[in-house]
Amino acid sequence: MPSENYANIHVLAVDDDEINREIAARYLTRKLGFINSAEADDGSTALAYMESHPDTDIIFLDRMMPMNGLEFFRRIKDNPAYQDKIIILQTGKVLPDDLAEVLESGIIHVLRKPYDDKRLAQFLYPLAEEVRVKRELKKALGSGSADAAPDKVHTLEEAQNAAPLLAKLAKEPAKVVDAIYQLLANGLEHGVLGLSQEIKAELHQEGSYRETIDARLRQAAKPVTIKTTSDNGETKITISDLGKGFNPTPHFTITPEKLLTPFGKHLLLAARIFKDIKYSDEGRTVTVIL
Amino acid sequence: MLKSLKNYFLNAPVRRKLMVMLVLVALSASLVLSLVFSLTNYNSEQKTLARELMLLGQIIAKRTAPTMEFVKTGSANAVLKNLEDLAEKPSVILACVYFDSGELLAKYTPDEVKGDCPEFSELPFNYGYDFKDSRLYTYQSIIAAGQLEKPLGSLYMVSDLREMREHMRDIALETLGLLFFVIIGVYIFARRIQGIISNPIMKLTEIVEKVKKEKNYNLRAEKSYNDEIGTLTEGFNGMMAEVEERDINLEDQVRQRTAELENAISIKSDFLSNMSHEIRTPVHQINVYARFMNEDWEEASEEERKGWRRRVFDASGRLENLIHSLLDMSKLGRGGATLSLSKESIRDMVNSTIEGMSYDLTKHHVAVEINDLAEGLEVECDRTRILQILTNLFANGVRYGNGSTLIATIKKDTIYCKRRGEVPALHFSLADKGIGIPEKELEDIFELNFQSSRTRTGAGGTGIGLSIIRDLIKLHGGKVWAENNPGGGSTFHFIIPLESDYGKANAE
Repeated sequence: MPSENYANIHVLAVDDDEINREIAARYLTRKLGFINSAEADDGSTALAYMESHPDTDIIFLDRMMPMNGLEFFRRIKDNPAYQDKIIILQTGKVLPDDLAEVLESGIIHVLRKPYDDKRLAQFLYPLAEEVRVKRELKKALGSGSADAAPDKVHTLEEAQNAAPLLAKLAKEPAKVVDAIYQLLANGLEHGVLGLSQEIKAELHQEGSYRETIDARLRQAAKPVTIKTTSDNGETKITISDLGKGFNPTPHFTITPEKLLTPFGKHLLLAARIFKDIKYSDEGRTVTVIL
Repeated sequence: MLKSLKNYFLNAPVRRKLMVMLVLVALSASLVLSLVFSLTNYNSEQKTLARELMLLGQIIAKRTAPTMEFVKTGSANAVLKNLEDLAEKPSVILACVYFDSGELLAKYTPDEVKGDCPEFSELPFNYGYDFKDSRLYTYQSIIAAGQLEKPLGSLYMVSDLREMREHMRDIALETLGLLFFVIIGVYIFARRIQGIISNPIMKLTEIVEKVKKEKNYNLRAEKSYNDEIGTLTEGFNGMMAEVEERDINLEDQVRQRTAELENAISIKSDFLSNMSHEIRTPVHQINVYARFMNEDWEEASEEERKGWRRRVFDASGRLENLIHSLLDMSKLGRGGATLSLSKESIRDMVNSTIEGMSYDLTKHHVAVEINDLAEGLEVECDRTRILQILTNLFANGVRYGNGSTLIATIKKDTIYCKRRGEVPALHFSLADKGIGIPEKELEDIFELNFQSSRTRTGAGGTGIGLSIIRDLIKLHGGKVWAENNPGGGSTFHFIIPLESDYGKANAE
């Protein structure tokens, strides 16, 4: 800490309390190393800021403000321009009723206040990593490489290269590329390395998650295998790992407790993106229809 | 035995008691009657028997007289023959005829009885009868016709009472039979009439048992007659109605008290949760800035360092204020707060407040206008407390006033006080042109723990300041309220009497 990997991720901290904003800003820039960090003092100021800064990636939102966090989210959630913004709500109110209200609003990330820079890093870096990968994937899709997709990947880097090639099998590659990458990454992180969320959080804290994981993956030298089949115009991708497997069912729903961690929400999105998603072999194999 | 019988009777149901009593009374009355009847009967039987035997004796004597007249001695046989006719009357067990000289002439006795005639001299009397030792003794003179002065002899007869006894037994049996029927009749009658008394009692008892079992106090007993039991039933019903009413009231009261308590508990727990949040915020800030100072001091600019120190200072100041407020509140809540009164100039206190707040006022570019309509007005009050109230009101004005000019107005007014009625008072108000107070919250903002929606939006404030103001103003015998201005913003008013009743009311 601070990490240079995420320097160009654009974070907007919204809080009406001057002191909290000052602390958040200091954490974001000095401790976490987000150079493109900005502040807004309530929801409406934040909306104005986003209009003029469409490249904002992460909005770090206080709940209690004149235009409160939930209201702000309601205003932006249906705007197509803001679909891939990551919204993090910070709040001291984490009683079941409060969280249920948040859950209902559609926000999926909640950071419990008060937090220090360490907890902020554990929460923000995984999401920043998502943003970074998304950007890379988008760039790769745009480059128009026509290579055939590999039948296995060993590292997150390989997964990041393979995902756009696999996505090209779909009608709308941009729509599925992130989800494909996340499935590959799941296989590597959980299947091959068997990482728990707690360990992931620890590894993220340093801001060099990708490098650490890939080093471990190279050492493990166990690939995740990919098989693609085409049938009646439907393309199926099957991704398998040789790990211990897991029970995927709970990962298709979101609960108030899950709001409080940045992890474990990819399957939720994947289920929305793919025509079908099915786990077999006790969670070691996943098949999706594009 | 007698005792247990008595116990049995005393503990027997009323119905049985009444039966036993009625039957016993009837039985004793009948017995007494029978006894009297028997005694009278016995007497008259005796008389009848005596008369009958005397008559019989006269007949015998009359028949014997001629014989004795003519045959002085040795003609006993003829007399005896006469006497033997007595065999027709079996109850005669001995008959003796004596000469006037006392010599026994003849004796009759039935075969089965062997009696002896007593010596003439031993006979107890010479005419009449006597009952003695279950025997009837009769004695009469034998007189020749027309010779009353010179009796020929005497006839002495002894009879047993078998005839009479038989007769008496028959009568007794008849009486007993009658008695039996009387008892049966009385029993049947008693069964019928005891209901008049026992039925209302049974009904009442039944209801009492039911109430005891079901704890149902809306049951009522049916009143049968206008007697004492009727009064008792009415009294019972009245008492039940009272219990029922009291029960309902009690339930209502309990429900109300429970609701009040629950409300108080929920206010307290909400308050605690708010307070812990309010305390946590400055503590967290102190902690964060202390960490910055600790870890990043070297690399920080002078401006940053100054800012951090200021933050720690501010946050710890807020924390201190908060804790002061909490202590105040707990004192006020326990009635432990006291006022130390003195005559103070209100204008002077307002000026002091503004001076004390100059930092905040300047920082937020808030101007203050004083509108003094009662120059030189002095009020008996606790200076520290009034300063505290004013500071709080001004701080609210700064916080919610949106930077508008605060207008403080001082004027004379009156207030009603219990002891002295309408009295002269100080009326202070502070107006801002800020965000105002939602109309429906105006009543509640002085309640402990009431968090106005404007506070919740994040404008800060703990929600206890106004409740402390209210309690302090109350202690001064005054009132405080808030209203929204037609042109926007809100005005807070308080009125306190110029001469305080504090402490005096207690002295009375």
